[in-house]
Amino acid sequence: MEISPDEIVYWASGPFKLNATILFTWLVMTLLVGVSWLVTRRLTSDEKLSPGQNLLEVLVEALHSQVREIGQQQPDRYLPFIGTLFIFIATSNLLAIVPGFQPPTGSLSTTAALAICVFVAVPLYGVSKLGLRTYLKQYTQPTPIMLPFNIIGELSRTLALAVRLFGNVMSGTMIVAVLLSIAPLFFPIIMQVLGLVTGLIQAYIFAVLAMVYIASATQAQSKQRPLSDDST
Amino acid sequence: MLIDWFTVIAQIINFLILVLLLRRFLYRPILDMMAERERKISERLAQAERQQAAAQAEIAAYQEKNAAFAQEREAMMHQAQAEVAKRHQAWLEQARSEVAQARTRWQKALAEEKESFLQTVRLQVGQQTYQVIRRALADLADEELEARIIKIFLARVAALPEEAAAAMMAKLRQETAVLTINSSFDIDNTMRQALRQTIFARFGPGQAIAFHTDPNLICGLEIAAPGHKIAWSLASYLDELEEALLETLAAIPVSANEEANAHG
Repeated sequence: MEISPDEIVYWASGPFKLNATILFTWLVMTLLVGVSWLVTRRLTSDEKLSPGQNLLEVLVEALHSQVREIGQQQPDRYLPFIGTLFIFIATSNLLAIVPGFQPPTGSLSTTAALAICVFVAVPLYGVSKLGLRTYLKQYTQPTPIMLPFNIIGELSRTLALAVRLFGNVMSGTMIVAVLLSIAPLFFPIIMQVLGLVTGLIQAYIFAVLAMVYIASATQAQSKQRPLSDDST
Repeated sequence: MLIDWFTVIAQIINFLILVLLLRRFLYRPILDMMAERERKISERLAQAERQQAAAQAEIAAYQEKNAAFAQEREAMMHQAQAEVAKRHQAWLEQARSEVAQARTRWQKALAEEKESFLQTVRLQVGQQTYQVIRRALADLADEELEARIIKIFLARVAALPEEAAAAMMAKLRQETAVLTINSSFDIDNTMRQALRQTIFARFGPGQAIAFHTDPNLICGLEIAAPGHKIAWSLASYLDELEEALLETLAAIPVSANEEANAHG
């Protein structure tokens, strides 16, 4: 019994290998991009919308407003990153209900990769917004003694981000597998449903935490400065 | 080992590619379209506002026009009424003046008719009287009526006041005019002689005398000199008769006039 889809390897050549994580990631990517392309190639600004456009507009608008509320800033810069985090994780988790589908988020490699992306994105957004000096100064706040703790905090929250998601998704799959051997009828279905809810909640938590980290990095000095032009 | 580093790197790349692809195919088109829709809606709202403003302006303009129209209509109505009244007055005046003219004409015609009627009556009365008197005189005496008239006339000439005769003589001498004796009948030679004698006796001998017959004199005789005239004829009696007749006739047209006015 594999604990991670990484261990299902379909093809390998030297350091390169095609495992289930990568394959199902591509599948999810293809699905997302394909649906987006199919819908957005026939967009209209009239009153009559296609159902697909309506759905995507609701989704994007919800993400947009969430990012704005959490970040307290103009959300356009952060929406592609945060939104993709949510959509990718949510889609992967929801598709777990499909038999034979191995959710890529159930691999610690994937969650680590996403956490590393957030880990890198936070200083990038912070520096681009505040400038390098102001951003680095944050680590010495409130006193320079706090510098090592700040750095540790930065690293640990990234680790927590990765492990939280992996643990939740992996456990959901594992619980179903364990329950199947104990109580093969009906009960696993309830757990599956619960797993769907958990998967959505995990996607939301991951995205919201990423936004919170980015917001804290870009807003650190805002209280001492007059309202910046793009803060809403 | 739960973390496979090759997979981690691959997943990072995969995720970044997904971010770019979704930004290209999902966020940007959807957000652009929503912004476009918002812009359209606000544009439509603005347009609606403009149209409403235009409609308001048009309403105001129409109301103003209506008010102006009503005012103009009122003014025209007043003018028309004034004109009607004026024309009515003018027609009334014209009708009155025409009636007055017609009445004047009618009265004039009536007066003329009365005059001509009176003339006719006078002439006929004179002739009838002459005939009657002539017959009466002829019946009363055997001498000619003419002789009587001449006699009376001669008596009148003889009875002419001295100063009047002198003034007449002076006028005749001054202008060496002919003394004309007009009569309504032919005077025979004996009578002409008697007349000559009387005239010579009165106005002096040698006075040129011409005889004329004038039937208009109605049974009478007259001596005419420039500026003077001595006459006897029934005309004076007829004049009295005429006056009496006129008085009688004058009483008739009053009632006739009243009757005409009542009918007119």
